[in-house]
Amino acid sequence: MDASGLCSGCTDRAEVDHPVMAENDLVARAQAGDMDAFEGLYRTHVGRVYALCLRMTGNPSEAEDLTQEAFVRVWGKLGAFRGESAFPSWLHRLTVNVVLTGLRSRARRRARVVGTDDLTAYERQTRTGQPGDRMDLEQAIAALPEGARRVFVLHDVEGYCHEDIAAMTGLAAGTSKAQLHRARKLLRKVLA
Amino acid sequence: MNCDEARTYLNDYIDGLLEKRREKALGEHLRACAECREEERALRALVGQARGLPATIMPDRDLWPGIKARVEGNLVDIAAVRQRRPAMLHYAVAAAAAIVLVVGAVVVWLLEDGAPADYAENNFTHTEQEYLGAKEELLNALKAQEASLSPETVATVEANLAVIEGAVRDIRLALADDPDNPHLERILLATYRNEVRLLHQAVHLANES
Repeated sequence: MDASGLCSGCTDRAEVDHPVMAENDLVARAQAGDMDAFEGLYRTHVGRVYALCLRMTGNPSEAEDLTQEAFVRVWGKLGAFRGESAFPSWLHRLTVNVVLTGLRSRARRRARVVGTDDLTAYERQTRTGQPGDRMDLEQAIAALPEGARRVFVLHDVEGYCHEDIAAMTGLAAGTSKAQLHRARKLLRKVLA
Repeated sequence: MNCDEARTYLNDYIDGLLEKRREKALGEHLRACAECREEERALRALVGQARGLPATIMPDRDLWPGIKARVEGNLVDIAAVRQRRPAMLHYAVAAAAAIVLVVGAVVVWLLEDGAPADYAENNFTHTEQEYLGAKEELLNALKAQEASLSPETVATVEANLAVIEGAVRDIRLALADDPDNPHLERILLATYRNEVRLLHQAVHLANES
């Protein structure tokens, strides 16, 4: 793994998609307590952070909460950011951790399962629109069972490898792989 | 390799995770089997579609005001804290502890006896999220039933919540400077717990009214 916490085989989508501008300056100013600079970082990255939160949770309201939580956490941890990795990668990893923590907490708090473990339940849940509506990939991802969605987003959308996902989620790499295959199977079924 | 085996390994094949010998065998099978080739094509299409999803999605509302409010609540002067760490840290801990003592004697017990019961099993962040989630739910419940409470009760609840929020801010300030301090984490969790208890009592009162 490198300083961003990614192994060398992973695609660092946070970096690939982000133009490097005066970000270091914004980070340095925010570290010194400059709220305008921190807002600049927020404005630059909120779309990326929210997209990750939304896809991981499948719930816009929860995604908003987690996006806010991620940026509050960033503020608290900015002092620890030393620039060993690029800021977008650091932020992305921090957001993943915030979301995973939120998901674990939600699972314990509500102790409820929506849909989920069998294909029939998933199909029923994903076909609630008008007849003839074709589900798009975003909707289908949102309706995936939580474990499968989490791994699918991290692997197929965000480009993390199973070893990294295992390290982040606490799953075994084999379980991560099984969840990914399950997610793809479910998605193909409902998108067909 | 037959079709069942081929489909078993197809995901790993397109992810480049198959060992060479098996990869070669599957490649040969795919060249000979149109059905499995179609499976491969569909799988690759799905993965390609996922990789091509937009990297950014903007939330429907501006989240910055909420973030700013929370951050400023923690702020006071982070830069000053970093420069004058020992004195400020002691001040923050002392202030937090003082407010926590005002809020409820149960905190003293928590501080003496250790963390909240569920803290031992879960790490700080998980437990914090649980408290925050419970707080949010109770706040929503209270808001829905606020009309059932007398104005005096509402004022008392709000005053107590303000005291607790002040304590939370101070402790978070100290934690920002000393992120993994277990004593600060415990104080913060104990404060959350008091907040949740207060809200729970208020909701209970509203339900009885």
